[in-house]
Amino acid sequence: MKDWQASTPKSYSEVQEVILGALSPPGRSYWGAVILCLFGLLYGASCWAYQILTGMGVAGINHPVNWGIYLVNFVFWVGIAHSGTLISAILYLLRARWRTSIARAAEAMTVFAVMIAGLFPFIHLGRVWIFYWIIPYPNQRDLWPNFQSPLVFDFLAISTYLTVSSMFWYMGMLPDLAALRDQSTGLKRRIYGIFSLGWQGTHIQWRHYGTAYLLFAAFATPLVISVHSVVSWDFALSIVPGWHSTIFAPYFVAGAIHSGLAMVLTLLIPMRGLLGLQPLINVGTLESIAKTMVLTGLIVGYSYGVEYFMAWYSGNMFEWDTFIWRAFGHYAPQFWVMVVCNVAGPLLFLIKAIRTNLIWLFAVGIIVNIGMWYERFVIIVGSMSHEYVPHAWGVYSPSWVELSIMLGSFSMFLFLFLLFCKFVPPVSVFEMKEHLWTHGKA
Amino acid sequence: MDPWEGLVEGKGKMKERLLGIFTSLGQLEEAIPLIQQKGAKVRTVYSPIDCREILEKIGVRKTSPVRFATLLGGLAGLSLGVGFAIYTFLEWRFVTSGKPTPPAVPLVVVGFEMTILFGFLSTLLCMLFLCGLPRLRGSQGYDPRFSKDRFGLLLECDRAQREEIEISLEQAGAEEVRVLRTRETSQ
Amino acid sequence: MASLGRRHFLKLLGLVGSASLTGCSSESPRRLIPYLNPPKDVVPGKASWYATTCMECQAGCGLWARNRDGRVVKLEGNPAHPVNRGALCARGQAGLQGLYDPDRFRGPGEKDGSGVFRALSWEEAFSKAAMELKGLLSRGEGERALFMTGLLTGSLRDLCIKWVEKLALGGLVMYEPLSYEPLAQAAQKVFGTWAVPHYSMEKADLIISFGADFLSTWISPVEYARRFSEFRTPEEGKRGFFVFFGPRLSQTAANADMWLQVRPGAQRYAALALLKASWKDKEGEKALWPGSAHLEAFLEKWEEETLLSKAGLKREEFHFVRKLFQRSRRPIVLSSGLETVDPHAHETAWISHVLCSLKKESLELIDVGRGWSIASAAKRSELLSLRDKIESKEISLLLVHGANPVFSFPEFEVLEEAVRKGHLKLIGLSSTEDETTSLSSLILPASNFLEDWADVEPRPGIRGIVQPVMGTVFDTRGLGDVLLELTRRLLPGDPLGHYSFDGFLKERWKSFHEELGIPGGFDSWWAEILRRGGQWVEPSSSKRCEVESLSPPMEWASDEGGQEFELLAYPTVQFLDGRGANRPWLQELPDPMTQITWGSWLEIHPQDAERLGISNEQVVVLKGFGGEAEIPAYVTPLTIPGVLSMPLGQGHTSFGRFAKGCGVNGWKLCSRGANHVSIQPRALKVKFANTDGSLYQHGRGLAQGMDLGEYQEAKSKGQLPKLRLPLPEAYDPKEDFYPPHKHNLYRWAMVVDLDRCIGCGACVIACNAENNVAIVGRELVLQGREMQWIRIERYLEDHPLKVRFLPMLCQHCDAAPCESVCPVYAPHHSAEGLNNQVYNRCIGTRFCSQNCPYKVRRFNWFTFTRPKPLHLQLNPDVTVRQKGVMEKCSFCVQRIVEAKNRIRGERRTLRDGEVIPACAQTCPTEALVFGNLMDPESRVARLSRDPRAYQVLGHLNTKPAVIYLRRLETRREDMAP
Repeated sequence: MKDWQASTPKSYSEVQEVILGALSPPGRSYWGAVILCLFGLLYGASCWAYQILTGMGVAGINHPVNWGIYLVNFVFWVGIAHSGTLISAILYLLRARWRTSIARAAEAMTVFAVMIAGLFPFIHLGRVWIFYWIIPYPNQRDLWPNFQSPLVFDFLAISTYLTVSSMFWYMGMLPDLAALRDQSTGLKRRIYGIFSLGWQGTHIQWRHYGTAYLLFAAFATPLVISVHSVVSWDFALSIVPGWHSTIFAPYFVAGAIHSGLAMVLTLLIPMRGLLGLQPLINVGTLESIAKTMVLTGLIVGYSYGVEYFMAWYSGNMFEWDTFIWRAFGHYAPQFWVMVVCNVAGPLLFLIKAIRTNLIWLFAVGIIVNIGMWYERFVIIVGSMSHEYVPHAWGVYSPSWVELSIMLGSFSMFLFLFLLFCKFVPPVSVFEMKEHLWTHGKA
Repeated sequence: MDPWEGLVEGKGKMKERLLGIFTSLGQLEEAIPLIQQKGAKVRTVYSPIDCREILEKIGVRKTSPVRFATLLGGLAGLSLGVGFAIYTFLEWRFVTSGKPTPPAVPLVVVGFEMTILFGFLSTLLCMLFLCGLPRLRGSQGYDPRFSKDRFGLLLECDRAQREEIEISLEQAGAEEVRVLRTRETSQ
Repeated sequence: MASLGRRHFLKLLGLVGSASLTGCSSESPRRLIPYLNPPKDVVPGKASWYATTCMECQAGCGLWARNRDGRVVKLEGNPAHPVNRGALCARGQAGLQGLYDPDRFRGPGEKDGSGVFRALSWEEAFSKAAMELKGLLSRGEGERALFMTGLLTGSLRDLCIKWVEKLALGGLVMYEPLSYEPLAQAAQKVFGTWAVPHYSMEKADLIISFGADFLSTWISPVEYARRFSEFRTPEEGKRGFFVFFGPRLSQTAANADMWLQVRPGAQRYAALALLKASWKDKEGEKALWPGSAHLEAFLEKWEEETLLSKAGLKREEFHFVRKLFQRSRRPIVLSSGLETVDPHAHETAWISHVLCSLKKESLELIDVGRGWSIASAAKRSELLSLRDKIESKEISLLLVHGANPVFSFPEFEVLEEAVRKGHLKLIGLSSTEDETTSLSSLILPASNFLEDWADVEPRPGIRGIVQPVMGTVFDTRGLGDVLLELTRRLLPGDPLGHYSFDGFLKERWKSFHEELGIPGGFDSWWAEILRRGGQWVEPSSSKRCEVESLSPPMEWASDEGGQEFELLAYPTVQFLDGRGANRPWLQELPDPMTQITWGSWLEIHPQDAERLGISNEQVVVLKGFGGEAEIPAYVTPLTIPGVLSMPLGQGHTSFGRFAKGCGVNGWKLCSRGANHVSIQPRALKVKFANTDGSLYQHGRGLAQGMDLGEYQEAKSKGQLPKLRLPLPEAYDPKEDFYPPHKHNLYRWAMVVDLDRCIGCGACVIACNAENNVAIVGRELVLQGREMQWIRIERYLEDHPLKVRFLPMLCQHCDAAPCESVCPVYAPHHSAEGLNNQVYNRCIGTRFCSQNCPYKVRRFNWFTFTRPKPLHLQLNPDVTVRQKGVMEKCSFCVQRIVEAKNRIRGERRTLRDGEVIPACAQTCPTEALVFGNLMDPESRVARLSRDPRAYQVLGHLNTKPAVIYLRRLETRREDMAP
C-alpha cells in the first residue's frame, strides 16, 4: 500500500475537501445524463404497464421456456448487489485497507442493484396485482405462503438483504452526513441535519457506533453468502436437468462476486475521474480488485468444468444431453460468449501492465459483466428449452417488451447512481480520516 | 447525553464548565491526565473520527452493551421464524410434493434469514437509543468544526481551579479554551 | 385464422370479455332464470342429456348431447348406439362449434350482384324463393331446377325426393366428395350389389389395407377403430396382424404391424401381385367361382416379376405377406376407394374384393346387404353430366343444402362462371356460408342438425333419431320445414300432407312401428326411441355376401407417365373433406403424424428434397392437372420417394374466419385419376405451427414397446411390472427421502394402453370441450403457447421406420415436483391423490410448469376469449381462466364431484367406472382407463399389474398416477410360417 500513502491528502481538512468537493454543484451535462436515465426508466415502466394490461404473452416466454430474461436480469442484478456488501463487510472484518476508499460507492451500488433485482420477480409475475399473497400477512382464511417454496426463500432473503444493506449503507454515512450538515447552510443544512440524526461524534456515540458497525458487518457477511445461495436454490431445488445440482450455491456466490467486482470497476473508473477522487481511489485499489477478479474468475471457470464433469460422471443421460446441447445446441453462441468473457477475460489481469491500465481495467469489467449476464441466460433458458420430454422442447428469444424493461432497469440503476454521486459523500470521510490518524501514530 | 447533568447535584460548590478545542487527538489525549490531576471531570469528548482509544483514559468501558441487544434480537428472530413457519404448515397441512407437514429442511432457511433480520434491526435500534439518536436540538458544547478536523474536550471543575485548568489545557496544546457557562446551585 | 393472433385477441377482449362471463353464469341464451313456469327438462345448474345422432359425416354415430340451462355444452357418444358404442371422433365432438359457428347465417337474406348480404324476413325470403320456382314451374320448366344436397338418409331423404317429384324438378343430387364410388362399383362387379360393404374386422385374423385409412377417416372411423382394437387385442385367441400397403405412413399405417411402401398409382399392382400369387395357391377350388376362367386368363397376362417391379415391392417382404394371406382363414382386404389416394381406385377396389372372395370365411365378415348409405351418393358420371348441363344452360336454378362442390369438385368451377354470367341462380339452404352457398342470390338458412328433427340411417337396420337438443341459436328453420313451406306456397292443397317436418318424421316412424309389429302403443315406443336415440335391429332378410363374378373389369387403365412426382391428397382427421375447417378446435388439433396445426403442407421425402434442394418449410410451386398452388414443403420420411402427400380440407376461400387463409385446397390440385405433378422450389419460407419439439425420443424410452412373445411369456409366468405406484404401499426406504402419505378412500389414477391408442386425437377435443380449454390461434402456436391439456406425442423410430403415439396429460404424481415450488399453494395434493390447481390462488410464477418433467402445465399468456356465440359452448361446471393463471388437466375433477353428489346418501363409495373423464369417455379404442387405484379390483388396479405396465420417467420417482401399457410389437419371425 505504498502508493496509497503517497497520493493521500495529509490532513483531515484536505481529506474532507477532496471528498465533499465532489459534491460541488453539478454541470449541465450531469443533469442531461440524469434526465436521459429518467426517461429510460419511465419507458421501461410504461412497457411493464403495457404487459400488465395485456398479459405475459407480450414477453417472448412460452412453453417450455416459462422463465425469460426477467429472471436472467433478476439473478444478474442480485449478483451485482453482492460485491458491495462483500467489499464493505467482509473486507472490513479482514481489515483490508484498500476497501475504505471504495466501500461507500460499492455499497450504494449494492443497494440500488438489490432494489432493481427485487423488482424483476414482480415484473415476471403473471398476476402481479396480487403479489402480496407471497407475504405472510394475517388473513381471514388463514392462508399462508408455502415456506417450502424456493420463491418464498427468495422473498425472505432478498427483502432481508435489502433492509440490511441499505441500513448498513446509511449508518456508515451518519458521521459524514453530520460533517456535510456542519459545513453547509440553509435548506441543505436542514436536510442533511435531518438525515444525520443529530450526530455529534461524542465519545459515547463513537463507542456504541463502533461496536454496532462491527456487528453489522458480522451480520452482512453471512447474509451475502446466504442470499445468493438462496437465489441459486430457485434453480437447484428444481428437477430440471442443468439446474438440479449441489454446486449451484458456491457457484452462484462466486459468480455474483465476480460480476459485482466487474461492475465496481465499470462504475468507479469513470466516477473517480469525474469526481476528482483519484487521490483517494488510486490505481492500487483498482489493482487489488482486479487481482480478486482473477480468483473469482478461476472459481467460476472451475464450476463450469465441474458441472460438465458431474453431468458426465452421473451417467444421467438427461443431464449429459442437456450439457452437450448447451455447448453445441441452439444456444451455443451464448454459451461460448459466457465462457470466454468470464474465464478468459479476467485472466488478462495476470499481466501487471493490464491490471494497472485504466482502459484495460474498464474494458475487462464490461466484458465480464456481459459474460455474467449470458451465464444466467445460458443457465436459465438453456436448461428449460431442452428438458426431459423431446416433444415439449422449444426455444425462446426475448420480445421487445422484455428488452425495453431490461433497458429500463439499467437506466434506473444509472439514474440512482448518478444521484448518489452528487448528493452523498461518495467516499467515507471519517474512515479516511481514521487512516490518517492511525498512520500518524504508526 | 446532556452536558448539564450533574450540576444540579453539586455539593453547593460553584462548578465551571470548560471546553478545550484541540487540532489533534494526540494533544487531547495528553491533556486528559493533566486536568484529571487537577480534579476536573471529563464530561464529553467530541471527535470527527472514532475516538475509542481514549475511552479507558476517561474511565469508560470500551465495549458496548449493544452486543446483548444483538444476541436477543437474533434469538428472537430465529425462534419467531421457525415457530411461525411451523404454525403455517400446521394450519392447513397441505401435502405438497409428498413432503411431510411440517417439513424440517425449509425451516433452516427461514430461521437463518429471520435471525439476521431481527438481530440486525435490534442492534440498530439499540445503538441509536444508546447514542441518544435521533437528537433534535444541538448542545452548546458542540462546535461544527468537530465534524471536520477539531477535537473537543468538555470538562467540569470547581471555580477555584478554573485558571489552572485553563492553563494546563493550553499547555496541552488547546488552540482555544471556552468557559461555557456557570450557575449557582442552591444550598 | 391468422387474424386471430395477438392483436386480434386484444380487439376482441372488450367484445367478448363479457362473453366468458356469460359462459359460466347459469343463464339460458334467451330466457332468464327463474322462469315463470319452468319447462320441466331445464333445471338450472343441472345438466340434461338428449339422445340424437351425429350428422358431421355419413357414419351416423349416436350422440348424447349435454344440455345445461338451455344450451348444448358437450357432445358425447351414445353408449347404446351400434355404430360408435359411446365413443366419438374429433369431428363429431366439434359439431358443437358448427352449431355455435360465429360465421353461420344469422337468418334469411339475399345477395345483390356485388355480393352484399341483405337480411330478409322469412316471409320475404319464402315469397322470393317461391317466385323463383313459380317462374320455372309456370313455364313447365321444372326440370331446369335442381336440388343438390349432401348425403341424405331416412325421412329427410324421403321428403326431399317427394318434394322434387311433386314439384317436378330436375332431380335430387346428393353430392359427397368422399363417395367411395369405386368400392360400390367393384362390389357391383364382384358381389352383384352396388354397395359400400361393411366389414366386421374384429372377427378377422388378418387385415390388408391398400391405402384405406380406416382408423382416421375411412367411411366409419370410430366404429372401425373399435373393431380394429378388438381385432388387435381379442378377449381370447390370437392377436390379429395388420399389413398396410400405401405411399404414406398415415395414422392408420402407423398402427399397422407392417407397412409396405407402394406409390399411389402402383397400389393396384401390389394388390394384383397378391391376387396372382394367391390365385396360384388356390388350385382346385378355382372352379367354384363364376367367372374364374376370365380371371385366370386375365392373371395369365401378368408376370409376378413385372408386377412386383411396377409396385416397387421387395420380393421377400411381398412373399411374407403372401404367406400370411395364404395361411390366414379370415383375412379382410380393404382399399381406399378414393381417387385422390389411389388414381386407379377402381381396379384396386375390384382386386381387394376378389381377394376377399378367395376365402370362404372372409365372406361372412363382409356385409354388402347392409352396406353404407354413402353408396347412394351421386355418382361421378352423374355429377359430370350435371356439369355439362350447367355449361349448356339447361339448368337455371340450383337449390343447395350442405353440399359444397365448388370447393371439393374442381370440375364445378363452371358453376361460378354460370352464376357470374347470370344464366344460373343459386338458392342457398345451407346453414353456413361456404364456397358454393356464397354464389347464391337468396339464402334460406337451414338449422344445424342439433336444432332440428331428422333421422339417420347409416346402414339398413340402424335408424338413429335426430332431435333438437336446444332452441335455434339463430333465426333459422329446419330444412324439412322450409321445403314444406315452399310446397304450400307453390302447390294448391297440401300435397305433402304435414304442416311441419316432425309430423312427417313421426308418420314414417309410425310405419316402422307397424312393420316391426312392436307391442304397445306408438307413443310409449316413440318416447323410448327418443330416449334411446334410435332403433336398431338386424333385419331378418339380410343378403349375405355372395360372389357373383370374378371376371375382371373390361378396361384396365394404362399408367400415365410424364411428371416425376405423384400427388397424394388425403382426407384428414380434422377436416375430413374440408367440412370441419371452420372449427377452431379442429384447426388447432395437431395433425396426428406431422403435429402441424392451422394450415396445410406438402410432404416430401428427404431424398427428393435433397435432390431438388428443398429445405423444410420452404415454399414450392406445385403444378397439377387441377392447377397450380404455392405450398410449404414438409420434409419427412412419412411419404415415400417420388410421392408428394398433402392434406385435404384446407384452403377455403369463404368458409368463415377460422378457415380463412389456412393452407391450400388439395381438391383443386388432384383431378381424379390423374395425379402426376411437378414442383419448383421458391426462395420463400413459411413457418409451420407445429407442436412437436422433436421427431424422435432420443433414446429416452418415453413411449415404450414390448415384444409380443416376451409379453405372453411374462404374462404366463405371472410377472409383475416394476412400478413406483402413487400409494403408501409403494414406499421404499431405499428410494424415498420422505415418509409415505395416505389417501382418503380414493386414489384416482389412469391407465393408458399404448397398444390401443391409435393417435386419432378425439381425447384432445373432448378435453377442449369439457374443460373450456382456450384456442390460441396460429401465431401463438408458433410461439409455443398452445393450451391443450392432453396431447398425443408422436415419436418416430428409424429402421424400420415406425411411429409411437404417447398420450401425455398431467400425471397427478404422488410426489409432484410442481407442488412444493409454488409460493402460494396454488397446486397441492388432494386427499384423493389429485394434483389440484387452484386457479384463483395462482399468482403466475410459472415455477410449477418449470418444474414439471412432463411439461403438461399450460399458462394463460392472455385472457383468451371466444367470438360470440362460441362462448355459449363453455361448460358452466368449469372456470374460465383469466390471464396470468396456470392451468392443467384435473382428471375432470368436476365429474368426480358430480358423481359423488349423485351417490350422496347411498352410504357407499363410487364404483369402478362411475366416473369417467372426458378423454377416456370418448376414446374409440378404450385406450384410456380411469379409476380408483386403492380398490384392488378396479380396472386401473388390475391393468397396473399387467407386465406391460410402466411409468414415463418413472426413475424420477415422482410416483406418477398415469400408468402406461407398452405397445405390443409382433416380430416378423413370430408370424413367419
